[in-house]
Amino acid sequence: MTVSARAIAVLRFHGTLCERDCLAAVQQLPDVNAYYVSAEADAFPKQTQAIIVPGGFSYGDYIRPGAMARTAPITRALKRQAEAGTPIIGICNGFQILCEVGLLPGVLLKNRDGRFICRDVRLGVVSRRSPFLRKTESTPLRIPVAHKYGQYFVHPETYASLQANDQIALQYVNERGAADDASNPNGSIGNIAGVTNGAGNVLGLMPHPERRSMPWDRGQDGKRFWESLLV
Amino acid sequence: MKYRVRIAIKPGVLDPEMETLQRLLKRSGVSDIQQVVHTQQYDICLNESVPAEEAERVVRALAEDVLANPEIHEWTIEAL
Repeated sequence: MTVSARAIAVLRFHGTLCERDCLAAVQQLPDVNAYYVSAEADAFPKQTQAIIVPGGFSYGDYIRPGAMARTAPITRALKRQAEAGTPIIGICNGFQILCEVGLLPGVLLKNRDGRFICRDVRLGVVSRRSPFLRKTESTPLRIPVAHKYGQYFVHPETYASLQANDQIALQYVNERGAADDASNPNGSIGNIAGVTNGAGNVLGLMPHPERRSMPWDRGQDGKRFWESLLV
Repeated sequence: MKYRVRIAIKPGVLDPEMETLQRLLKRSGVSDIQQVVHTQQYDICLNESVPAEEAERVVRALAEDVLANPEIHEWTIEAL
């Protein structure tokens, strides 16, 4: 995938919160046309070249974070787009949704210490297969997390296949770039902060790149995710 | 027609709430507890006009697709 994506859909479920930040983060880039798409819609606009599933509390986190999204009309269209190779990024609750609808492996459990965490983390980029990670050369990236259900979990055999297929995209690391336990904010297996699907076009991550994207933010490391789309 | 779906975390999957509960129980002097498992229970009523086979299919799909996540949960379905 080398076509730059400039028509970007920002998906909105009932209870999504971070859609305005995501829209602003991509709209600041040259010649980008970004627009909201409702979860009640049956399809994405034809011109859509990339999709952002923002964070928040879709459907109030009822049942489990992301679980109710399986019943939303847009979910079928999202699966069709994923199969067609459209770059898709799910952030925080968006990551939980992508896992729950089966577009990404694994599940996000309650944090190891059971508490909500809101703070900066350091991210090491393990694989740049996602179109959102092409321009993330210098690492670690400084980006905040804000979640209670961020402990990425897969069974050991799935973990082995993630490693073998280069699907581990992002890890929580220390200032030297090492994935040690002290840098793991939530107990995620293998310090995983983000994974891709087998094809690499669908990425999910717990940290919020849209919160380090604007000129007034405390750092702009997140902007590289959006600039990656234009490469 | 009524069904009861019970959903619990699979063995081996960390449940921080139950771990904390067990720790607190131990601290308060209850030392004989081996494990506490948190179970969610859903009672689902369907219209009487739905044939039993169809009703079971609907409840099974609901349990598997929405109420539980097969990656971390195990569940039982019981006709009431």
